[in-house]
Amino acid sequence: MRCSFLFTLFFVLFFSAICSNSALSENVFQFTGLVTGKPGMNIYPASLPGETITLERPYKGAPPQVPHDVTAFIIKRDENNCLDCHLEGMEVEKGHIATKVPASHLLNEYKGKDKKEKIAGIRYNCLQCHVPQAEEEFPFDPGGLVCD
Amino acid sequence: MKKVSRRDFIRQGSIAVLATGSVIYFNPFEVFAGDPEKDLVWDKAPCRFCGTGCSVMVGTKDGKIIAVKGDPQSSVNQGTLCVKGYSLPFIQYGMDRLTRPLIRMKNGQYDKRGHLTETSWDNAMDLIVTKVKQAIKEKGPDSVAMFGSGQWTIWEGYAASKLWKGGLRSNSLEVNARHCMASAVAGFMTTFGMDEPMGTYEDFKQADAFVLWGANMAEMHPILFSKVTDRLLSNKKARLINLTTISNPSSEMAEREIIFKPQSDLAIANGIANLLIKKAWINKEFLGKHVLFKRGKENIGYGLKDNFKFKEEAKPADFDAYKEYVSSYTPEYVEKISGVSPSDLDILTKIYGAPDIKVISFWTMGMNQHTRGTWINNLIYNLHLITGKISEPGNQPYSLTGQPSACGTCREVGTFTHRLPADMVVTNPEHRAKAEKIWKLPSGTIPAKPTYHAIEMLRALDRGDVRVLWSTTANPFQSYPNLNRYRNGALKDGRFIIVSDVYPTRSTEVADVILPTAMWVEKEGAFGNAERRTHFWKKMIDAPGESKSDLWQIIEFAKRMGHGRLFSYSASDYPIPAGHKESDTSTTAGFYMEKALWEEYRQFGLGYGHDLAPFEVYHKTRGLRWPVVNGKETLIRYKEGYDPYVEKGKGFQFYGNKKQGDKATVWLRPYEAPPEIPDAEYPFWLCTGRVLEHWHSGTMTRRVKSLFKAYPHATGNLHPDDAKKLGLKSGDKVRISSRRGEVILHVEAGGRVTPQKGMVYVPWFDEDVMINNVTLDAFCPISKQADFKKCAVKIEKV
Ligand SMILES: Nc1nc2c(c(=O)[nH]1)N[C@H]1C(S)=C(S)[C@@H](COP(=O)(O)OP(=O)(O)OC[C@H]3O[C@@H](n4cnc5c(=O)[nH]c(N)nc54)[C@H](O)[C@@H]3O)O[C@H]1N2
Ligand SMILES: Nc1nc2c(c(=O)[nH]1)N[C@H]1C(S)=C(S)[C@@H](COP(=O)(O)OP(=O)(O)OC[C@H]3O[C@@H](n4cnc5c(=O)[nH]c(N)nc54)[C@H](O)[C@@H]3O)O[C@H]1N2
Ligand code: HEC
Ligand code: HEC
Ligand code: SF4
Ligand SMILES: [Mo]
Repeated sequence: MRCSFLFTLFFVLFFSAICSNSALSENVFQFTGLVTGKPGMNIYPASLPGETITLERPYKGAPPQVPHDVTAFIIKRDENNCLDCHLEGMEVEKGHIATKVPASHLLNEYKGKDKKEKIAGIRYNCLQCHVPQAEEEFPFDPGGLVCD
Repeated sequence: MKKVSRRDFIRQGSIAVLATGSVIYFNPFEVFAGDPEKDLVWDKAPCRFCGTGCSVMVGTKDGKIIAVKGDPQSSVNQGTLCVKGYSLPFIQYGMDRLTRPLIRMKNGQYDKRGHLTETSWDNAMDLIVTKVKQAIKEKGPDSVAMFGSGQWTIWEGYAASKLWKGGLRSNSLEVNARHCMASAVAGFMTTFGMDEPMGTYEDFKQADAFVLWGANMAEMHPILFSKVTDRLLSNKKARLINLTTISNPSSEMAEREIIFKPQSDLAIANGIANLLIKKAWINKEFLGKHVLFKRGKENIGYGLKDNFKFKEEAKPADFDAYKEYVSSYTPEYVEKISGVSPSDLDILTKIYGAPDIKVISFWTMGMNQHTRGTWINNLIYNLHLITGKISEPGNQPYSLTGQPSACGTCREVGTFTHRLPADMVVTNPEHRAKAEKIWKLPSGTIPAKPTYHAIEMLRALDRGDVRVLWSTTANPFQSYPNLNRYRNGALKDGRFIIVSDVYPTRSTEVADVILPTAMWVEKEGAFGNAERRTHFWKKMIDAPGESKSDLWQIIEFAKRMGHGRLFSYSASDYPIPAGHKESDTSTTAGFYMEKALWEEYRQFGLGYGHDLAPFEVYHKTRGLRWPVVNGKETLIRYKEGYDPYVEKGKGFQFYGNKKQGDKATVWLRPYEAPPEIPDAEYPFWLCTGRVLEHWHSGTMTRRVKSLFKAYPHATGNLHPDDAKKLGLKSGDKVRISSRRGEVILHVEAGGRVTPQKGMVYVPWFDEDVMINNVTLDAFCPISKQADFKKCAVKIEKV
């Protein structure tokens, strides 16, 4: 049986908590950081935009994570696929609207009276802030301890 | 065995303090339901990750960080952050945060083979002092070493330097910046006689062309890359060229991605110089007034053996000698060495040569982690010097710094074995005298001989010449090259390893004592970023459990070693201001320690081109770029009208090189091959590096859910053709081995980065993929910086 160190840690703490009001020196640690002994692959959901639901944001004001596959999308100087859908808030499937980029991302350009919205240059590289999430449990999540 | 669910423990409260208070879990999102704007207290701090130095607004409530946002008042990041910056609220709340000192014990006694056991600060410090005194008695003060960091606050580095050099009288002080910026420093010192870039980020707005010389800026300096992107999008004529050994996301905005063979940048740079001269694209006037030529030693070795020594022997040269020297780097020869076509060489030559193109060259580890790192830094400066495209708005060679305070702390404070603050060195008697005067020490206190640079420090530990190693704010037993040797060294009897960290790491694994440490806004701090910007922050929250700041630890150790006077200042000079969340160090001292150290440190640079402003000024600004003279920061150094140190009528003045008439040096440097080249047995190049989502050894970022999940594991990235040749597909498990060690991991054919054919790329953030067991500890003989980018490996399916 192989457990991540956290299991060991919790196990020790569990027993020190229930078995005694432990003297300091009885809390023994074998720290090995985040080592699991299992190198892995990064596998991302293959679902296309319109097939996914948005993810819980880490906190108010945090950039939302990308719920859909991005491998085919191009961000180049003269082409930004993300903007194709997200600039205006395109409805891709019924009920599946690409969230419109917020005002913070936009610059307003005026041609006479007409207002035209344009992405701010500093926001152009969407994937520096918005990242997809691999299909893998977070080993540190409460309840997510991997133990086999 | 019964499975103990972590959820059971955690659910007892969103902040669960278990058993003896060792485990903390806190999720801001779960706890905070209010309005961030109204219900949080906001204060500014620099991001604790990369050298870009973005300013972050930190929102706290009831002693916890709830949210961050990009600081709209900062010209660095204009209200934005990258994904690591947005993850800052989580990095201190990992479940296994260290909160109590630990000692390896058996039967209640320290024992190198014992179990890590909780103890008190008193016990931990007593043991450290005993071991240090024993080492000094048996082997002398040089056997006590500290390995610090470019993630140290400025006063932490300053205190360490003062204690080691002025108290313990040992120069055995080094920093992880040796692995990072040493070649940049050596490049600056040999060419300009003064460290750090002449320009600032303001220059990006004026440039017509950007050339990346081995910097994956899109992932490693994301916000700077976005500033470059902004320029590219707002100016149709502006262009980006990505010179690189691997295809990476920095090419997405580039007009061209030019792939070259490892190490061949030396030939490319000389090849461009040759063409510039052939096409008469040189600035004769600038050359005549501001430049002289030198030729250095060649065939300089690779530092692979212990106690390696090198001494430069520079000889004067002139333009004709230089012209002759680079003339052998014909486009055909350059292509043969580098694989770069003559037409690509032409494109580059035009960018550097054409008078109407303003050009910025960027580089980071591709050029610094290089066994000829100092040379290649010199060679890029050559291109800017012979064309006069330097120290002008939009015309700059721009060495990018990796860590948040590699500049502010390591380079400016001088926390390397040979250095002192403000670019001074221990080998110079005048410099030592100046430091001794400011430190109020008897003359002759500071030892004149440097001891161990970073690689040699761990070699000395392995040999037994170093007995005590204190690592702080670094993770050397994951980040050093050729790790098998150094991890084994640390585990030998008679070696005593102290690790100050915030989490269990690959270094705490081999530690004898672990000190739980306050991080980032749990203490008051100052960083200096890649544009000479010094940026302060205040303490915002308390550190968990018994964690103490690095500054507190260093000063506490000093006191116990009998060097408390180095850190005693008067409470009437430095009162702790009211309403100030004071640091543990100030509370213990009874006066404002950070301010006292700052005001003393500042004296080193005043009037010497390193002027820093008074303490309070920095708490009121979003940082200032030194030299700060008469309250004004300096945007471009060495140029009249911008730099207050340049005399009237000079135009330009490279005043770091006073001894050579304020002239910069153009160096005659050749291409020389790397020490280990793929062969029949080890047919692949190994290049190591980073990914956007993780910081270095991953100790902080892998504990953040959204970052872990964004890039959980290190994979071995291969060119799809190579994968096919080896009969491998993405996901296959392989062993990558070199003459020194091996790792097991999964391959990815292509992916976010795709190396050139004949190369495998592995990032080093993953504790399960200790790629540094495989890398080579060869270094640049001048800078002593190791080359993590090149060695020979084989790849086998397992
Ligand atoms: N996301 C993230 N950002 C970071 C960090 C992090 O850990 N994560 N760390 C920070 C730190 S401390 C640093 S030092 C920087 C590093 O920043 P970078 O240097 O940009 O990144 P690396 O991944 O170390 O290096 C990859 C680059 O090395 C180049 N290279 C490889 N071999 C050669 C060669 O022979 N010659 C040349 N000229 N180039 C070569 C490749 O072309 C590639 O672009 O990143 C900083 N920013
Ligand atoms: N293979 C390979 N290896 C490399 C490189 C490479 O490109 N390839 N790059 C090299 C470079 S450029 C660099 S800069 C080095 C970096 O190497 P290191 O500095 O050794 O690595 P980090 O992971 O940044 O280590 C910082 C440690 O400090 C801890 N920490 C965070 N905040 C605090 C604090 O406030 N106080 C204390 N005491 N600890 C704290 C973190 O948990 C972490 O363990 O790695 C080098 N190693
Ligand atoms: C073809 C249209 C399309 C493209 C192209 C596209 N998206 Fe999306 N995106 C969507 C839709 C639709 C959703 C809503 C979820 C769903 O229905 O799958 C979404 C959701 C998101 C979200 C979550 C928003 C929230 O409110 O939580 C982010 C972030 C995002 N996308 C970023 C990107 C990025 C970055 C790219 C480019 C690399 C991109 N998208 C390309 C359509 C698109
Ligand atoms: C420098 C960081 C950064 C970049 C680059 C960036 N974003 Fe964002 N984005 C954020 C942050 C932070 C938020 C959440 C706060 C806000 O609304 O401003 C956000 C919010 C969003 C949202 C959700 C809006 C809502 O109403 O909730 C979408 C959709 C989005 N971004 C799409 C994009 C796309 C598409 C790009 C690229 C063209 C992009 N972003 C580039 C930081 C960034
Ligand atoms: S670019 Fe660097 S400094 Fe800015 S938020 Fe990202 S990691 Fe932090
Ligand atoms: Mo670095």
